[in-house]
Amino acid sequence: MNLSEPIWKDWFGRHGGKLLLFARQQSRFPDDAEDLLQEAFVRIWRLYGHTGEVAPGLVYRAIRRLAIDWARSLDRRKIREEKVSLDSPLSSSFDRSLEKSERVQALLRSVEKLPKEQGEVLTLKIWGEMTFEEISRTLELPQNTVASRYRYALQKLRDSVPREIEDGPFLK
Amino acid sequence: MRELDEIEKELSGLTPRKPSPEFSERVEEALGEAGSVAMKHLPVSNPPIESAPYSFRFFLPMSVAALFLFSFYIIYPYLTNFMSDDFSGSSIKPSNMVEDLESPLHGVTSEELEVFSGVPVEGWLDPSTYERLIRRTDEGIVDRATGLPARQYRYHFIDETLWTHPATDTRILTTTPRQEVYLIDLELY
Repeated sequence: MNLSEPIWKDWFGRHGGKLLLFARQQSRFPDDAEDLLQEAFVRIWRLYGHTGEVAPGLVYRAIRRLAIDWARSLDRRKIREEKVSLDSPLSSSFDRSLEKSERVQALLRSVEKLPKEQGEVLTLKIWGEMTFEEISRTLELPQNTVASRYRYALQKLRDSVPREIEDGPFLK
Repeated sequence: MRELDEIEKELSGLTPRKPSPEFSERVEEALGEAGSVAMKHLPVSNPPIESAPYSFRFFLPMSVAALFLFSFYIIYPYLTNFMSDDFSGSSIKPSNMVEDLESPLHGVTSEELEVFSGVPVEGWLDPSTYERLIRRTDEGIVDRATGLPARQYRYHFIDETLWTHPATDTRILTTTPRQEVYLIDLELY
């Protein structure tokens, strides 16, 4: 009879989806996103996992740093990455039931077109459920810069989503 | 401003898809030993015990006991022969004891020892031992001999041994400190 299970499984169940979304955004390549998350998570859990709880911010930060390292060494794969990125839209990282909504599709397409520095702040704030203070620590940026980028991102989304599909199916 | 709040709310309603089971398995494999350092105890719900009919509950143990006794009665003669054949000419001998000539006990008989110390030699029960975890220390990152980094944990124990002599109501407790070091491999970052 199994009386106990590793804590990381519960932790990964709670944060894995959000981290994978962030990794995808950082890598712009779904297969790389999983590798990126795995590498970052394993490194952080080996350092701090014995405490039983790890701040998600540490893993987000590790993902970002790794992505930068990998981008520097993977220039040759740039063309391939861009091609695959077109084949797998951001909406594929969310629950399938939502894909039917035209407005959601439009919103996510706009999220994907955001400048990277705005997109990462938006992802951490909305889906990472982090405060501006936590985001500023994760991205190593001043808090005001983070807040501005977030606001600009929302404004761009508002301006880019066509008004004619604004009254599409409402989300939960 | 209200429009921005609406968009924020709308985006928050989207749920990122959870990692696939295949991916979680990959992560588990990559974590290795580090994955089981911290464990969560799960509540156990005992399955309800179905009550068997009285006749079944009564006769089943009786049948098993009768079968066991009968089997033992049949096997016993063969078992005793086997044991005596196997060990009567045993070549197993106790290993040689080496005398410590500088020991204060060298040349002292058990009887003399009993007189000198006032502690009886015979009549002691088998000692009971107990391992007590004192603390666990995270000693940070160290280098293995191979040059690879590892996280080092040191466990401090006290091993207690209690010797009891019921006839004289004597108890002797010995304690021995002990340490164990565990290394969890890390990868270079």
